[in-house]
Amino acid sequence: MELKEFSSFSDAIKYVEDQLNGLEREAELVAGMLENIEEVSSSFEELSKELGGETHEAFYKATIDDITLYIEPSPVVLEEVIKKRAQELSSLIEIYRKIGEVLKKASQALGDGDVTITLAIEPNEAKVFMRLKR
Amino acid sequence: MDINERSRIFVNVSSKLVLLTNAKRVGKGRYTLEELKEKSKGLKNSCLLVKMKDIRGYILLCDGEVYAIAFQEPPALGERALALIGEDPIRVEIYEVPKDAVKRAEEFLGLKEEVKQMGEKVGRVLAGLSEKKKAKKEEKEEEILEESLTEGVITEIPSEEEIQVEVPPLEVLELIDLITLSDELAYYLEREGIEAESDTPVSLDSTYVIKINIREPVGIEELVRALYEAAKKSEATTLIEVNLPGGAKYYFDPILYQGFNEVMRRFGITEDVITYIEAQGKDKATIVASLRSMLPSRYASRIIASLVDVARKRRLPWKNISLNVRAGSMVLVGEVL
Repeated sequence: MELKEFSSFSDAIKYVEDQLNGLEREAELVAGMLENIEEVSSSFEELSKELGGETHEAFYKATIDDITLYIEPSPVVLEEVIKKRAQELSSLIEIYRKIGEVLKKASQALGDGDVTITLAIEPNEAKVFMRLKR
Repeated sequence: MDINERSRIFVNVSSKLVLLTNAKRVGKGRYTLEELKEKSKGLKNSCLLVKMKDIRGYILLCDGEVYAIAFQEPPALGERALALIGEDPIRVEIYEVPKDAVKRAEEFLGLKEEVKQMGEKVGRVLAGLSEKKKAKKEEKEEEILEESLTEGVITEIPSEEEIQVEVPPLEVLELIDLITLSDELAYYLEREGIEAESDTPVSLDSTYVIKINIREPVGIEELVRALYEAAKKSEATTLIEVNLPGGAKYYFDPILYQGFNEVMRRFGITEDVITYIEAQGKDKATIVASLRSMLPSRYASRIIASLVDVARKRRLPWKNISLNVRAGSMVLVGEVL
């Protein structure tokens, strides 16, 4: 869990925007990797059908006569890993977008500077604590 | 939601990730659009995601209809992309995507109303709690503003909420969107009587911005007014680099322009504030806001503070930004960052 505390709405909103920018850049990279790996995976599936062999956690192995072929990482496993990160990224992006919206609307109503904000963020859940300054 | 809005499913990165993570490859070949529509009719719980390698794009077809479409070469989205597809067969790779995933990807295109309302409700509750504390501060400010009334520009005292103008931070757009917007902006500038051509978007502190070249000399006031009108018509809400024939370069931000004018209106000033940005290197910039009339001296500082607040919220891509307000013979300066 990521925990961050801010002394004003504007600081919290800036942090959320920065996080979103970073996540969106990573998401672009992951989307590109997914587009490529889909093609590699399908060619790999065709190859493995021809050669037989077995897919292990991190590599593919096939034996042809007395030669054993290893392909590392197995594109199938790599695809799973990338897809898992893609799911995390899309959840995180949405969570940060929602938090950003809540913070902006709340800051419009309350103004800036009278509140301490703590964000506790996980890929599928977020908690936003707002405490009025005394 | 029409096809143009739905097609942003390929532009919004989290929507695109949802589609790609749920896509299952089912084949490849050369098909016409009509044949692909027919193929998608046979699917009950899935849609067809079609990847067009040659033009680097995607079509999403559900129940025999094109649900969304976008490609990069040439950049086009929605109806415009559809018009460019034609009737010839295209080389494609075909994937199936569950309809649930399409729905989820679409949800990512906009925030639910409940989320927006939640923020408003939270803000109202907190505002109520801190009301007592604020009351004293407001009393003082009202005294100052009451004095300003004698100058006859504002007819009633604007409250703290009334002078707070909200602008969104600068949006990071994809290259494909910027290219499309550049073309539209240049087109509408021509309609406004400014000879302009779109150029390849340029990178500014890792953010791409629209680039427009002006072919004939034009005054800054006329140019800014035309840029604002063209931006409204093309729905451009991002930063625009404008290059003039003599080598001068300005930046124009339609949202900042709108925000500054909104601030002035809330203080009773109806004259348009000509707002543009002059960059001094990659880290430093000056926002110039100019108007013919003077600012009422008693609350000029409050206007400057509101303008600085708007500029700060916009998060422009320069490290040091100063504000230069030229009002009649007055020159007022503020620091944004």
